[in-house]
Amino acid sequence: MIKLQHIRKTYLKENQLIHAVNDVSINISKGEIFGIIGFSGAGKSTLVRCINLLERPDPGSRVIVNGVDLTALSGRQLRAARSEIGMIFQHFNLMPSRTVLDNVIFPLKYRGISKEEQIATAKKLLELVDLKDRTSSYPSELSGGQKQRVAIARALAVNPKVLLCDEATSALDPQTTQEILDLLKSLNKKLGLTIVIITHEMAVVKDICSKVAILERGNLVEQGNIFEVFSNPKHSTTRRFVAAASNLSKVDQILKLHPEVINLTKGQLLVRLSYLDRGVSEPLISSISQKFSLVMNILFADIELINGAPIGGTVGILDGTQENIYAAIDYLRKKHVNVETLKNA
Amino acid sequence: MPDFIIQLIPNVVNKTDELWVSLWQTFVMLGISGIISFSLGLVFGVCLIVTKADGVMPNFPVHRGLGLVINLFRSIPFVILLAALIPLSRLVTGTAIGTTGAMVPLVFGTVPFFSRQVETALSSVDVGLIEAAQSMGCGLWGIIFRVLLKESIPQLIRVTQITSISLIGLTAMAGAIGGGGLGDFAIRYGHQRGQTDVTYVTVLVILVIVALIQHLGNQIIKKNNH
Repeated sequence: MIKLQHIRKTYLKENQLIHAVNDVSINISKGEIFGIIGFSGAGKSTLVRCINLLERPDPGSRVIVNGVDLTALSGRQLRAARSEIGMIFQHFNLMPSRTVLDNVIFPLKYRGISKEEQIATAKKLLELVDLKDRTSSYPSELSGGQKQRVAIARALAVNPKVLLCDEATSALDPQTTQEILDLLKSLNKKLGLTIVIITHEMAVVKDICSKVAILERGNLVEQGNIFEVFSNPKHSTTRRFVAAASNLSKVDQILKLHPEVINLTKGQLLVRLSYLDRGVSEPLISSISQKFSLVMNILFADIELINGAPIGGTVGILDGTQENIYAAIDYLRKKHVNVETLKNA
Repeated sequence: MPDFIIQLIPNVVNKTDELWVSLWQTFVMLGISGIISFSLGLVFGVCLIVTKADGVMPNFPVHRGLGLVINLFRSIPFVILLAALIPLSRLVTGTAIGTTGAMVPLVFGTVPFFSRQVETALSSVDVGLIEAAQSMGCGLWGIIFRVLLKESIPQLIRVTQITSISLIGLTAMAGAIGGGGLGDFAIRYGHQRGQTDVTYVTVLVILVIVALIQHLGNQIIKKNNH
């Protein structure tokens, strides 16, 4: 559906060449919810604007949406092609002088659609986003979540195949964020809409994306199926995102700031077990304590659902003979559990 | 007419006809040069916004050139402009005196000021709105009319109020070189013949015009502000 090939975007800032996006290639399939995550300044907003050419990437980059190479289109053709791609923004960007209904009608005007049909379409869309009773309100009278719903209705007015979301939930509180994400999910299912989500919030990606790409200073450092990327992160930036979203990383902070809290006696080992497999159903800790006569004192445990599959782990102190501890670690690794030694007495 | 009014403004009472004529001349100058200046200022203001470096259609030479010309004309005091533009006035309107002769300098005195005001008004439009419009397939004209101008109507009305009021000041000055109107009326009688009551009545009339413009503008703003 969307093929980004060798996207580069450089610009001059105070006589310095800035590589905002550096040779990024991504394939997004039809009906997918694709997340692009990165810290601020990673170039994600620039990248998403390259998809509808609000930012024109450097020569040599190719943006193919629905089989059409957008970079090769004339101004007029490009404007027509943009109606295939809806976009919503962090700050909603609704027209303040127009009512909710008129905002949704905005993209329908000057397209040879009759006035009645414009209103009917807009009303239908507002019903879809659950705002049919606010048609004559002005944006200033709405809450953030309602504004984003209007923006979604507006973006969908011309029946796009793709919806680009530029930090669409970053200005919203957690509960409203969840509502918007649920709405996006249902639109994805109902309309078969391909959604591209730009965010710095791990929670957003975890909740709705099936695939993810991680950007770091304009470079694509990792991409793939979300479960695989997050259960076994390879790049340090990906690890930072996973860590930020998980309680299991708390122990790193504790070890760094208050090492005295975790006192190990001889023979004890502080470990972090992370489950990489989708189906962790075995009672691993019980079985190792029986098999290898170990005691495990659990400090933290955490489980997260990523795209519907559990991912998580345990931090604890293993106590037993050295031989048994290493045998247990081997056993766990065979069961696809990632074992990290955090502290050794 | 009641006696006390005759006592209060003796010199006005005996030339009410001339006062009406002056008032009409002021309205003609205000109306015609106002409409021309409004249109030109709007065009130049839009041009400045659209062609700036991060505008919808960046064009450095146009932006810079227009900016320079505007600054040049803004820096010339109006009284000097009145004299300097006499040849141009003759060329354009066929005369350099009277209400018609005042039109050209009035337009030249107002357009640069109003263009800058329009520029300020339009730059209050959130760039995010322009981006959203572009993402919905709007072209240059769509952005100018449906976003820039439409979304800044309250600000545009505010700057139009300010400019019309300063235009009244200019029409009064144009009266000094024989442009007619209320300014001319006040100078000829109030100043040159020492009939101070004429000056005061003129001031009062102008005050009413200004108040009307303010009121009208505020009503439109109220209707357009959400």
